[in-house]
Amino acid sequence: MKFLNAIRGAVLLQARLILSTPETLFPVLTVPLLSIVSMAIFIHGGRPDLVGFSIIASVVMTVGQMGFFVGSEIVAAERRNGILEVALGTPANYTPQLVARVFVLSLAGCTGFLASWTIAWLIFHVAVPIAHPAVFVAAMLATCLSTAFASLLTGAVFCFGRTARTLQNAIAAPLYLFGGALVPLAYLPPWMQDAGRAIYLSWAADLMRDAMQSGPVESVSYRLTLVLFLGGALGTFGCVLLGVMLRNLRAKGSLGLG
Amino acid sequence: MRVGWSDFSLFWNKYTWLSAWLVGVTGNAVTWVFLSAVLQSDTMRVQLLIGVSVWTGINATGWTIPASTWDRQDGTYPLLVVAPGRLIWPVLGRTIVWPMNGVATAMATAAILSVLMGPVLLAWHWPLFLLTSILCCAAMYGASLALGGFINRWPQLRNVAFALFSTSIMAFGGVGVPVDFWNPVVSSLAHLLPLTNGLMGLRLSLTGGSGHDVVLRFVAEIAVACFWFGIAFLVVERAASRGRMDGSIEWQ
Repeated sequence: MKFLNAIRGAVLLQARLILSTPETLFPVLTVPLLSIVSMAIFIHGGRPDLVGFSIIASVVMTVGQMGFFVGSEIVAAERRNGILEVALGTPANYTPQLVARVFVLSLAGCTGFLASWTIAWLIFHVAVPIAHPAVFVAAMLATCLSTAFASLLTGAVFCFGRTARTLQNAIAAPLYLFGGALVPLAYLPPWMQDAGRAIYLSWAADLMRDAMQSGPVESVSYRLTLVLFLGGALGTFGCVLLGVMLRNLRAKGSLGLG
Repeated sequence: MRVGWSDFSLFWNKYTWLSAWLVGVTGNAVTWVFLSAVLQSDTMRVQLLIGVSVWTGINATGWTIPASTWDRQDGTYPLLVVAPGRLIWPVLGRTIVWPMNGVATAMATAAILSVLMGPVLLAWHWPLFLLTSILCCAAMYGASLALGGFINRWPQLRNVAFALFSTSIMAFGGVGVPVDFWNPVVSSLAHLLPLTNGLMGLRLSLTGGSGHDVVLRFVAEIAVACFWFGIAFLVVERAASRGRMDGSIEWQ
């Protein structure tokens, strides 16, 4: 019960923070605009049927930006603002709260779907159908949850690495390239396909693309499990790394010296 | 300029620029060029490789927009405003590093993409590509200074402004699709964007367009750059005088 109360508190806190600082939603505003570029390319190339790829890219990238970049800065911001000591001093476990808060941010990223779908409809007059809405929503939720887990790793690195901004700028594009966000892995060279299979985003993006098609979607539960498993694996590694780093800072007495 | 170089060094040194920065920008560029694989079109590969390479330079130059607000965050903006010189000069000095980074980024991206995605530029095309990058980054620098000077009143919006402007240039400036793909109003306005005319000139020269047309496009690009620098000068100086009047020059 105490655990659930702590999670509830974290979720409410993050929701309030989003409402009080709407600039945290900056990726939700800007990332879907990129879909104008890819939609225009598909339509100009005579393939309006591929506009759905742009919408999936928008969802994956907005959720990713909210989780990996906005969410990963939570620890750094709390350290900078002197809140981290207090947060770690409370009886509730910090890590699940962090996951819950990033999950809220990732969920906010799902609005990227609405934004890009609306762009396709209003600007290009293409109404993209979702043939399997339940699968699509399940894939989106699994992506958000996996992103929340995986953000523990990026959060630890961004918070304590000396070149956090450098890393942020470096990893985003390769992550989405290998994650098949815009271009499905099937169109990439074999070695990139192999590498991309290890990234949960590629499974999530493929599943969402399949959910848009009218044919049957194969192995839904297996693919959803893989999305969660691969995200969870990153989260486990991140949890260990974050724990080690926080313990080191505690030992040095430099927890609040961010 | 020293402050600008210090700003730049906060993010990058020669090792991180050659590794992390180039991995990031080329990763993004490669994604766009791979759309040609989805469309199975070699024409699109050439179009995207050239367009995206020039655009990465534009995008790197766009860091001028957030950089224009850093004096307010640092608390040095009021001192610059009360100093006897014009405000535009220290702003230029602090931000000139970003267009230089833009030109270097565009050249490096084009070279890396040519290796990864297949060559597009012949040896004699490279000086022309360099010229295009310099002109486009100069025009983007002027436009970014103007936008940065404007957004300086709301510095918390600096990154949003940067992203929106950069994305608009990519969408409407002829990077992925020709400018006339859009409706006539949008395509006319697109000629005021910092990249449109220079990129058209480069594409014309690569496809054997007449020298006269190519020169005309580059002259148009220079005119656009002058236009944006003029706007930038007015906006930056106006922001200072307005701030003096209404007391809005405060430490952020």
